[in-house]
Amino acid sequence: MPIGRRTLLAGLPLLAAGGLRDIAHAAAPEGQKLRAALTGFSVINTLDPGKAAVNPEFFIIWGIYNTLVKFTPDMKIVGDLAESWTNPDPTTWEFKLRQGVKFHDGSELTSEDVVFTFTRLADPAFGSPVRKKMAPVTEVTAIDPYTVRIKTDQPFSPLLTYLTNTRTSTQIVCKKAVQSMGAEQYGRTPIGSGPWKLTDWRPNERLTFAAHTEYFEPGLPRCSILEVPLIRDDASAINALAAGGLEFVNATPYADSDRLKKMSNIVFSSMPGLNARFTALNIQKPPFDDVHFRRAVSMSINRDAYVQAVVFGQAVPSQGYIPKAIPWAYDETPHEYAQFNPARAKEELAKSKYGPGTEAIITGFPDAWWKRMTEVFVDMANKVLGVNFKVELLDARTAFTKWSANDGQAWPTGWIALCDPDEYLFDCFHSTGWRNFTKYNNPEVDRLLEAARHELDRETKGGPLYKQAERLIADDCPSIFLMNTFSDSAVLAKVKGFEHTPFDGFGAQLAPMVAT
Amino acid sequence: MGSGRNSRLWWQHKQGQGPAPGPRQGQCPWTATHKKLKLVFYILLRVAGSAAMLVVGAIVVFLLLHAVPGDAAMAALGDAASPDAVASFRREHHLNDPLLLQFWSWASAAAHGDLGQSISLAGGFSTASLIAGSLPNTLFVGAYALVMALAISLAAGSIAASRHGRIEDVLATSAAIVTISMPDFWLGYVLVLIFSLALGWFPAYGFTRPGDSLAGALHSGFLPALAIAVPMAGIFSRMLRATLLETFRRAYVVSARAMGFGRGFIFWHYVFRNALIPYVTAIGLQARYLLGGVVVIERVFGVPGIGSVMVDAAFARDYGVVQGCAVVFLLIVVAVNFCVDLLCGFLDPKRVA
Amino acid sequence: MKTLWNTLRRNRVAQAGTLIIVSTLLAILLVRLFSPYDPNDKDYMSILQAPSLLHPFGTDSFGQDVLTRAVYGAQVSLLISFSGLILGGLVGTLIGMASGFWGGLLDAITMRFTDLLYSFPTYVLALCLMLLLGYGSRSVSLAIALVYVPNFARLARSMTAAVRAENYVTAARLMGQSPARILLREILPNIAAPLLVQFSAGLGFGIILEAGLSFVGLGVQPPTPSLGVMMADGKDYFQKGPWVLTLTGLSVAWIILGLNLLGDGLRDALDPQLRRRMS
Repeated sequence: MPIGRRTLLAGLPLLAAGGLRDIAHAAAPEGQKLRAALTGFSVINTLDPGKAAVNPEFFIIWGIYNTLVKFTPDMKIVGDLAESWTNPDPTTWEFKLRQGVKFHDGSELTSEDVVFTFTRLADPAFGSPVRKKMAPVTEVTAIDPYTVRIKTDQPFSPLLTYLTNTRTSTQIVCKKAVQSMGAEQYGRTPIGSGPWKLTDWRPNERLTFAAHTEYFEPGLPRCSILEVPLIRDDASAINALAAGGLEFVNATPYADSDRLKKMSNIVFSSMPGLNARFTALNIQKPPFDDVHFRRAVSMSINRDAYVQAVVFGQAVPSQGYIPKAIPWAYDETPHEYAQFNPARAKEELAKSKYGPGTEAIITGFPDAWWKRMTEVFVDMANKVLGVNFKVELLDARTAFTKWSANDGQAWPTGWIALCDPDEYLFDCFHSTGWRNFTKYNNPEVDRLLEAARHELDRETKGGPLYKQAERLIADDCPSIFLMNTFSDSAVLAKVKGFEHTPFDGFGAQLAPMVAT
Repeated sequence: MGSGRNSRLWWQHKQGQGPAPGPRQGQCPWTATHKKLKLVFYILLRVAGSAAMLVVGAIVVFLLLHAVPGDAAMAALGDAASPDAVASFRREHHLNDPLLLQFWSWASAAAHGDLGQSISLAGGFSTASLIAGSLPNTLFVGAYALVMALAISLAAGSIAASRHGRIEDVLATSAAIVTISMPDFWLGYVLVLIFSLALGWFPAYGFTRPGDSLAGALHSGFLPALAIAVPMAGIFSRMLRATLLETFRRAYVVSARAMGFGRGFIFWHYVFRNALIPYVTAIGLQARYLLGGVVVIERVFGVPGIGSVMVDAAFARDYGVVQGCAVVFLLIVVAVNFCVDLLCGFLDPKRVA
Repeated sequence: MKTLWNTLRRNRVAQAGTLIIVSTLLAILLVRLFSPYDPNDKDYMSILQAPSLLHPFGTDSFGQDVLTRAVYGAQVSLLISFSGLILGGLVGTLIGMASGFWGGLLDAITMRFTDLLYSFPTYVLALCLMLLLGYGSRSVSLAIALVYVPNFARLARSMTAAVRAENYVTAARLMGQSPARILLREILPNIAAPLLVQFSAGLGFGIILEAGLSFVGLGVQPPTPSLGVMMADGKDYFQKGPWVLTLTGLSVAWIILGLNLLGDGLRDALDPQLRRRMS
C-alpha cells in the first residue's frame, strides 16, 4: 500500500493542521524503506527478461538484473557487467566480465550465464518476443569464465545498444536457477544480479524487494527495502506522494506539471525523453495510400499547439523520429512536410486524389491521454483541411489485433524508451523491419539503413546516414511525426541520489536513492 | 387482558408452552411430516437449480470472451511480439484447440477445485491465488458499506415512518431521494476532494488489507465504503419506510391494537418483523450489486478487489481468470440468496414453530 | 388512465419531478438557440478555466464550454438510456407476460435464465458486452437493454400471474379470445402501472450505467458529448479543474432526481392497486 498505517497516523495531526505540504515527520523510518510507485499500469505478466513484452515488466526488470553494458544519463555507453570490450574484427566482439558478481542466490555470474541467456533468446522453442530482433547475433561463446565472445553475421552497429539495460531482453539470467525451477517459475520468482531481490509479489497491487547485500557496486543499494505499488491512476499517485506516502513517482501526469513545480516538498524533474509519438498510417489503404494526402495531413497539424493541447507543453514538437536526446543522429534541418503550413497543406490536398470531405477513421485507445492525442489530431486535421476524420476508441487488445492485421487506417501511437536510431528507423521503415506493419518499402531508404547498420563508426559516419534516411522517409510521410514527450518524474525533496535519465530507467535508478 | 409482556398468552409462549400469540394458521398432525418432506425436496431443487446456473453461467462467459476480438497471446506478448512467438504461446496454452475441448478441460479441472493459472494477467499465478488475494478486500469494503447503509437506513427509515408526514419524515425522504440520484463514483471523487485533499482526514488512495491491519483497513476503507453506502442507504431507508407504513395498516396490526397490546410491543413484534422481510430482500439484491458494481469505486480508491481483477482479466483476455471469477461471483450470489431466504423464513411470524 | 392523470396532478412529489424533467427537456431544446458555443468547439487557448460569466460551468480540458456540453450530453445520455430501456422493457415484458400467462415449463426455463442474467454483476456484464459489440452509443443502449430484461421479465411475470385469475380474464378466455388478444387487451393495461414505475427508475440507473462505462473509456465515442464521457474527462483533470466532474455530476444527479421523484409520485398515486397486485 502506498500509505502505511504508521505513516498515516504519524502524519494525521499535521495533515489535519492544514497542510499536505509539511511531511517532515510523516516519513518512513530513516534510510530503510523506499517506496517508488509505478503509475498507469497494473499488469505485469512475467519478470523473465526473455519473455517480457510490456513496459511495466521492463521497469521492474531493470532493478532485478544487469546487462553487459548500460547508458549514462547523457546516452553514452559504459560497462555494467562487462569491465571492457574489444572489437577484434568487425563481426566479433569480446567482453571481459567483472569478477565476483553474485546473483541473488549467492552463486557467481560467469560467462556461462551470458551464453545461456543469449542461446535462450535465439531458441524457437523458448519463443522469446525478441528472437527475430536478435537474429543478427549468430554466436555467443564463453572463451573462459570471464570472457564472452559475440559474433554477428555482418558488422552490426546497434549491438551495444542491444546489450544495454533497456527494453532489450538481454538482461543476464541465472542459468542454474532457470534450469532448476523451470522458465515459468523463474518468471515469478526471478533470480538476477541487480540491486533488488524480489521478496513478495501481489499481482496488480504491489511488489516488494529486499536489497541485494552482495550487489557488486559498493554501497548500493542505500535502502534495505523497496516497495513498488502499482497505481493505475497517476493523479492518485501524486496525491500519495504529496502526502508523504511515497518517495518517488516515475511518470507524473503532464497536466500536473505546473502544480508539481510549485510544491515545496517535491522535486519535479523533467527532461526531453526518448519517446516518439506519431500517427501511424496504413499506406496500403485509402485515403492514406496517396502521398500527397499524407503530406497534406502532416502540414495541417500545428505541432506547437498540439504539444500545448495534448501534453500541456511537456513535449518537444518533432518532425522526425529520432529525438534530440540522441544528438549524433538528430537531424536539425526542418523537414518540409512536417512544418505547419495550412496554405501548402491545401495545395497538397488539391494534388491528391482525395479532397475535402474525405472520411477516415482514426483509431485510438480510451486511456486518458492517448484519447487526447487522437481527438486533438482529428480536430486539427478536420479544421484545416475540411476533411471528415472520425475518432474510434478501441481497447488495446482489439486495437493491436486490428493493426497487426493492417486493418485500420490510422492510429496515433508511440514508442517509449527506444534508445537507438536503428530501432527507430530500421525496425519501422526498413522493408523487413519487424515493426513495419504498413509495409513501407523504399529501396533507397533500405540501402541507407543497411549501410548505417553496418557502419561501426557511428558518430562520424553512421549518424549522417541515419539523418539522410530520415529525410527521405519524412518526404514520404508514412507516419505523421508529432512530438517527443518529456520524461517527467517527481521525488520527495528529502530523497537524495535520484539521477534522471531520458529513458526512464525506473528500476535501475532506485539503488542510489535514500531519504535523508 | 394485559398489554404486551403482561399478557398471559405471551408468557406461555415464551416458556414454550404454547404457540406465539397473534393470528395464525391452523395446525394438523400430519402436516408436520408433509412439511418436512417438502422442505427437503425444496432444498434439493434449489441446489440442482443453482448448480445448473453455475454451469450455464460459465458457458456463457466462455463463449462471450471467445467471441471478442484479440486474444491472450497478444495481451501477454504485447505489440513487440513476433508471429512465431505468438504462435508458440498459443500452442503452449491450447488457444487453438476447438472451443468445446478448451471449455471441457477448464470445466473438468474446475470441478475438482483447480481453477488453473493466469496466462496474460499475472503469468504463472494460480487463479485461485488471484481470487483469494482480492475477494476478501471486496467483501470487506462491501460489508463495511452494507453496515454503514444499514445503520443509516434503520435509523432514518424508522424515524421517517414513525413521524410520518411531519418534518423529520420530509427531511429524511428528501435526503434519501437525493442520495439515490448520485452516481457513486462521482460521490467518491467529491468525498476525496473534501475529506482527503482539503481536510486530510483520510487517504486519497490506497487500501490497507484487513489481514495486515484492521485499523488501517477501517481507516483507508472509510471513504470508498461511504461512497457506496450513501446511495444504498437512500434505497434502504425508503424501502423500510414504505413497508413500515404499509404494515401499520395491516389487518393483524389493527386487531392487535384492538386487543390492547401496547404501541411499542406492536411495533417491534408485529410491524418491524413483517417490514423486515422486503427490507432484507432488498438488502440481498443490493449485496449482489456490491460484488461487481463497485469496480469503478475500486479503481478510484485503489482497492484491489475481485471486480478489478475480473475487468483487467477481461481486457487481457485471460479466459481462465474471468471464468474463475464468474463462477465465484455466482457461488456468492447463490449463497446470499439462500441466506436471504432463510432469514425471511425466520422472520416470518406465520411459520410453524 | 384518466384516474392516473388526475391523481398525478394532485401529487406534489410527482409535480416536483415533472418540473425538473420539463426544465431539463426545455434546456435541451433551447440550447441550440441560446448557447453561443458549439459543444465540440475546441479552444486550446482557454483550457480548464474556472466558471465565469463567459462560461458559467467553466471549460474542460479542450477548452469546450462545459454548460453547453452538459446540456447536449444530457440529451445523448437520456436518449441512450431511453432507447435501451424501451428495448429491454419490451423484450422483458413480453417474456414475463408469456411466462406468467402460460406457466409450466416455459415459465421455469425463462425464469432460470433471467435469474442467471440478474445474478451477473451488472457492470461486468455490460463491460463484456462492450468489448464484444465495440464502443459507441448503440452498444451502450444494448447493454442497458440487456441489464433490464430480467427486471421487466420478473415484474411482468408476477403481475400477469396475479392478474390471470381475475374475473375479466377468465371471462375473455371463456369467450374464446386468442391468448395474444387477452394479453394485449386485458392484461397489459392492468399491469402497465408498476412497469412504468420500473421504467422511470430504470432511466435513472441507465444514465448511471452509461456514465460508468464511459468513465472507464468504453462508452460513447468522442467527440459526442455524453454525461459519462464528460465525467471521465473531468476525473482525469480533477485537481486542475474540479468543476468539470463536480458540476457534471450534479447535472446527472439533477436529472435522476427528477426521474426518481416522478417515479415516486407515480407509485404513490397507484398505491392501493400496487399493493394489492404486488403482494
